[in-house]
Amino acid sequence: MLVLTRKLNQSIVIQDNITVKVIEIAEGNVKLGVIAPKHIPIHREEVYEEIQRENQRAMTELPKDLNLQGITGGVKDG
Amino acid sequence: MKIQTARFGELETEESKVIQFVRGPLGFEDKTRWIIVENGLLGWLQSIDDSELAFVVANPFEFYGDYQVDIADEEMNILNVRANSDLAVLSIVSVPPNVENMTINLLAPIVINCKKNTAQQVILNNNQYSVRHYLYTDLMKCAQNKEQLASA
Repeated sequence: MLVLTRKLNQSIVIQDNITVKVIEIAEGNVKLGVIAPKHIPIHREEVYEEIQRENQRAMTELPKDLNLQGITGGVKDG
Repeated sequence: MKIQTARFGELETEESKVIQFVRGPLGFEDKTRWIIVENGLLGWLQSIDDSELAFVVANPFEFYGDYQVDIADEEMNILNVRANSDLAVLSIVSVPPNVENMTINLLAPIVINCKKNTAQQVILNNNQYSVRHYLYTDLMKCAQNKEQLASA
């Protein structure tokens, strides 16, 4: 991993089109500003990973013989 | 066109129904071609690229009328969306063996441009929504309401 030290209001540039700037440092939090082309998705890592995991779970947990109609079908008698 | 699926066997569909993801759903980024298999309140999103992959999906607005999907302009551009009326929203539903524990992902819906059949899973900047919102009770209520409407 490349490690760089930056001060408040300093930036790093990635390739020629992504800039990450330190906007604020306060009480253990670092606020970053990112300038990047619009097609590049930027997410908080833990949120991104949570959704990846949730998608994987939604895919793998499904019973093989799941009958969706069977889930709501029982309502008819009620 | 014919597609092979593990869950439904061979499916016949039209090329025009294929939904082309700009980037596949998170964790499945390289799976970009999917079709919707409609089936009432809960339906399927079946991968064309991998016969084994199918998500259960639902239109979240069926259950949550006040659900808000604020999509960034950039993402509207990526999907080539001209008007909000071009948009459809699907949420991935996780159905464990005990179906009463099923959950719906309200934080990261799949947004579809119905005009162009392009889609993308987006992450909402709204932390009141969860990736695991319990759905069963709301689903059953909704199914019951539809039943009553149909018989009224």
